[in-house]
Amino acid sequence: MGPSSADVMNNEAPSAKPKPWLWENLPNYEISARGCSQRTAQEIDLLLLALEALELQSTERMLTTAKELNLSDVIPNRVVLWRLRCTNPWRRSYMRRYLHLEQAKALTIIASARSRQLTFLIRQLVLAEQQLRDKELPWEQNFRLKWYLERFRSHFKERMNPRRARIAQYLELPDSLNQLAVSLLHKLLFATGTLGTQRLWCSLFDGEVR
Amino acid sequence: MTIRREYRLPNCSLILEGWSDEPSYASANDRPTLSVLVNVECHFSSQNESSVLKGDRDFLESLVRVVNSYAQWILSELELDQPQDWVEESVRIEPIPETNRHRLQYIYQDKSHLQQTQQVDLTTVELFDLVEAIDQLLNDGSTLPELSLSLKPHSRKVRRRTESVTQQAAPALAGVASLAVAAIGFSLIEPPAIEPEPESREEETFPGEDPRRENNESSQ
Repeated sequence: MGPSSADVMNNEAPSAKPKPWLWENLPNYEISARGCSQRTAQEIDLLLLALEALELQSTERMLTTAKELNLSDVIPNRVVLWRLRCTNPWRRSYMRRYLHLEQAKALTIIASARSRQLTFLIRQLVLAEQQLRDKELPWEQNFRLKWYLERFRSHFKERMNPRRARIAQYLELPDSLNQLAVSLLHKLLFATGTLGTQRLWCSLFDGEVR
Repeated sequence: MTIRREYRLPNCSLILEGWSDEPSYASANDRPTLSVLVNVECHFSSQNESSVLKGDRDFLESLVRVVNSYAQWILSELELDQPQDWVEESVRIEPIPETNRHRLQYIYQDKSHLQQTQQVDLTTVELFDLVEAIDQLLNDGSTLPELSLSLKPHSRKVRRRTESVTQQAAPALAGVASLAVAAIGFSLIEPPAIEPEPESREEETFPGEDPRRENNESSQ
């Protein structure tokens, strides 16, 4: 595969500042020479989609976080971020490209950093979901949880390819889409921990390495 | 001197007691290293006092291994070909279906050497606090420094296929079935009757000649 425009753009603004500690300390797992598996790319994009549903202007915040963590050489702008996310095979604009290990690492570090910023909200939503489930009440009873679920469903519908059987299934059953949104919320909660990024990074390759 | 270390989270506290095997002057200025563990307690704030899990080093090591593995499963949702083997472990944890809760069990022998099982049902936030308490312990270089986080993704060989053999074969079977239906349908259509070719052609046409004009001329 020839160099993508995303790769070309990566070289435009090399960052002189050191990368975060995690950059060197997240292991480089043995994966295919082409890049990360489709499941890894899909999972990262869904986690970012959940973050987008949690806060307004999420893309700008992700780019600011990339800059703060000196990851701008991997993710310099909105277009590159979008191109990397389009390695998710569920997307309407799926590009049949592979996510490289370094790109996956940068996105994972950003996702963890964003979720750490939102720790209080994520905890609140997970607690609210548990309380409503225990009382057998609908999720709409909690305004903030309802807002998150509606935004997640809307983003999902807008960006995922309805011609794929799995997506069609999700779109037909909004409750299953809510379940997916809640499960992503749980994953983001675990990513907020002291060793959350390492745990999240390892899980992205679980069942994918040689 | 007994050393006590506490890792407190909103829903869970992990308390370790032990002592240091270093000479006292070595750690006079620094925080002494807890290297010999005597007692571990795991408290959950939403549970009653009887559900405090108490044990020794084996309990702590089992708790760390099992909770690590379970947290990885929550994040990856990987279905293993062979279920996780907890036979050797004194701690077990499994999801409680349809509830988003997790059942933590501690199996131990009481003073009369009878096997006892202590059980605590945790919400996801309580489980996260337990994972976080363990992570803070593993990150603390002055408490059992030989304990470290061991994370390793499973190989793709142990991944259970999410689709059954019948689901995988479904597209091929659908193809064969539609071919068979098409073949039956075509066999019902009567084949067209073949007219015998005329033995000889009386008229030959040449390029540029219109045979109809010739016929008209001859009939006139």
